[in-house]
Amino acid sequence: MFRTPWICARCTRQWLKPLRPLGLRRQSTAAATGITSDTIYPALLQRARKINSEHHDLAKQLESNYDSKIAKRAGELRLVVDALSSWDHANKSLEELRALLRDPETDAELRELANQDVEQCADDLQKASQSLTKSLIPKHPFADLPCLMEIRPGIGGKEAALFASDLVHMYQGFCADNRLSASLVSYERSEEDPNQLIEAIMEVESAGAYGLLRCEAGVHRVQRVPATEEKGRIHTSTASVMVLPSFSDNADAADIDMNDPTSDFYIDPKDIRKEYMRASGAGGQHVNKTESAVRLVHLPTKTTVFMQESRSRPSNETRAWSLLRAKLAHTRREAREQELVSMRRNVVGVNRTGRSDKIRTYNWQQQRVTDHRSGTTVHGLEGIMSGGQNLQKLMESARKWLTETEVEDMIADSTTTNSGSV
Amino acid sequence: MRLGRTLGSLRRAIFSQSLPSTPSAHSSARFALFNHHLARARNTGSRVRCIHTIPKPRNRLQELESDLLTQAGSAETAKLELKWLREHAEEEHRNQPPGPERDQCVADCLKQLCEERAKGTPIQLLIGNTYFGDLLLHCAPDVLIPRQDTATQMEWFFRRLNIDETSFPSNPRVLDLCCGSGCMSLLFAHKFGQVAGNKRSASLTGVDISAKALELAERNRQHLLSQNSSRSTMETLKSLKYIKANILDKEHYSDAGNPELSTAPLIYDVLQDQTFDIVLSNPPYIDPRTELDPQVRNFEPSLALFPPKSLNSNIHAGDTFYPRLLEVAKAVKAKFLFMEVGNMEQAERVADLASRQSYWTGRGSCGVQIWRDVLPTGSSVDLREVCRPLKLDHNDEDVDFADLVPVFGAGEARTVVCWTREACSWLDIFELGITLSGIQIIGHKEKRRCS
Repeated sequence: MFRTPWICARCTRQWLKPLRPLGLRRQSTAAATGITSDTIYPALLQRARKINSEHHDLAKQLESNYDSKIAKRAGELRLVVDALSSWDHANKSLEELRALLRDPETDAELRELANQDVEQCADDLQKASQSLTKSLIPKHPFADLPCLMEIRPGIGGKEAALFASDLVHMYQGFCADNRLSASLVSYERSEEDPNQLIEAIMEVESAGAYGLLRCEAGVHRVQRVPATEEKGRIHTSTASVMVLPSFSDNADAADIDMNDPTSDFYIDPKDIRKEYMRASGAGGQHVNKTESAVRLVHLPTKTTVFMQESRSRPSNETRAWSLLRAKLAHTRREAREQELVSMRRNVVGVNRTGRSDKIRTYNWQQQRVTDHRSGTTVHGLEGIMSGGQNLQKLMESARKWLTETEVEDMIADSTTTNSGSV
Repeated sequence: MRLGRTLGSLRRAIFSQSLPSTPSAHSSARFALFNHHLARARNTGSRVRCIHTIPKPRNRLQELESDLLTQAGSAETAKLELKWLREHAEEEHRNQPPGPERDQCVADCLKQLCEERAKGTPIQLLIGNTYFGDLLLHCAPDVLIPRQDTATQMEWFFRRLNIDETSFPSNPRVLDLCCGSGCMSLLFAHKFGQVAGNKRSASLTGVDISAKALELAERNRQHLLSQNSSRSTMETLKSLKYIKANILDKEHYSDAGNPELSTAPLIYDVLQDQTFDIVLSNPPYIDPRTELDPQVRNFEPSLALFPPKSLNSNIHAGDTFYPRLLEVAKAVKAKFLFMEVGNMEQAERVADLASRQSYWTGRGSCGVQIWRDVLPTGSSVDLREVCRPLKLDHNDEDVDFADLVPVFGAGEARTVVCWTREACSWLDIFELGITLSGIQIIGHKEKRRCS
């Protein structure tokens, strides 16, 4: 009678999750990254000093005249300033200790004490430089936003469509596991075969979802014997995932002015062709149709969005607009980044994380998934395909890789600007 | 503990004995339950607790979907309709305490809705409301369900309207003949409030012969009044009146055997000597012999679809109302008349009728236009590209002038508008010059193309 009800294994794991000591793992993985050495890049340090002085100026301004915008900016810089001061402190004490050790006049007792302290101090310095590097990495402007994921089959026909729908399932599972509220905005099937996916759009409504999932954008490759294959041959197909920040509700929060022509989100209404879907033929009192679909076409880029989820045409239209905005902003941003990349190519090789790059391979025969950016390979394919723990591991590695490249970018950037100014 | 309980109740609900035992009913209930949990998780921002314990929904979906498919037309629409019905079923039981009982109620309700839908009941009647332009309006049996096409035409009217034109009355008086659910007058109030300043308001009167329609129109008015909108809209809605009247003659409804219709007061007695600036109308216009979608023929009121037989044998079977509408509009000294029509042939007949009356005369030509279903939606439109001239050929001996009627848009003809000299500059499209290049000639019997 008092028997505990049956609970599925995954749920139990999820439930027990907070009990697992998280700190341990973090430390061990942090040591493996490239950016943890106690020698901090001089370019980064220079940047930190610049920010420090800027913060100083801002604080002075705030004393005489309070302005919420300046206060916000100062608050953002505060992190760097704090990290820098603790790094300075650690650096200074380490140097003092080392000087003490080098000094031949130091007596034996003091030397022993200093020797003990040096270890502690070096550890502190390493931590301080870690947090300084972390605080210096520019936060992606949209990292706090919810996101839209667009999943389409790539090369490989039916099998690609199957894999794309597997990916949809995977991300749904991932969102469910990580307490992200996700919903399918649209799921377009092929007209000939209703099982075949053409395009799925998923909205992850939780704040910060873009920061979490943007590393998923790119081409996902699958190697397996498809369900449709009769002779047991292994096929290689792809599906592409595009991750866009979503601006549906909190455009204000992100300080984005949709009416500013210089903004990425600006769309000239003249460039839009709006179509209300309407089958030709009889209308009016003769038939009773529930046609509320809206199609928007951005003429200069031929970007098209189609929305028919709601019974209300106006609400379909608003959703279509926000989707179109997100799509256009993404392409504009990507174009700009592409330009920067080509400018920098001679300095450092930078990988773009757009739609065109193969980022991951899912291999059924070997039951493994490899992330090509970070070079991480994880086994346990089943778990990954249902969005479990191992997927999280992969995504973590990809995010780390992303940060590293961004740091490298920044360093390359500052060296080019420096050499340019000299 | 909480997790255990949720899962326990979920499992009990899915596998409980109280569920209907037929396989299809059982699985549809299970599917409804799954979706219900998904939706609830989405609403509360929490995650779905246990997606793995519930079988993949696709097969369950197909069972309910196939029910709907017979009526919805395409698989895509069936899927959407199922989604809307599900949302409605959940909304219905929102106030019940959450738990297996409510889940069961929702599942039963959804199943019943799907069965009703499969029999042909329009989805708007099952859900009880429909969208008309920006408005959400109630629907009821025995009253015509508002059509999106009508809203599109009215939206186009407001897009082309020069609201600040001095000849346009600052507080227009509007008459809605055959108002039905009140959709046209209510949308007019809403749109006018959007484009006109707060100090202006319109005074609207709706007229219909059906008591049920008037009741629904009043309910819709009250519903819109309870929502916050602009001051002008509120003022307009407050003064909006719905009146019962027979727009045709007593004889038209004398053999219907319905005393409600034959004893209704006549339109001229009701209006007496009131005047109006604008007359809107979506009268019954379907020829009773037309083959119709059973969804419409069996579930919508024939009173609102088919006009009674005309007393004048020259008038086409679907056109009974139009001569009277033109007459009433003239009697109330209207400057603008907006009439919905069923197809191009009917539009041609109505335009022909109107162009014969010298009352509807614009600047230099007759004040008649035909609007089709698909009208340009963008703000900057080259009107020359969306307008085709139509030549009305008056072969009759008493009228000796031939006139051009502009036809706008694409698709089936939906509206015939008429205006007087005073309303010439109300809409920018009224001032369009029409040339004779590549036009269509319509006579009463023969049609030919002119090069």
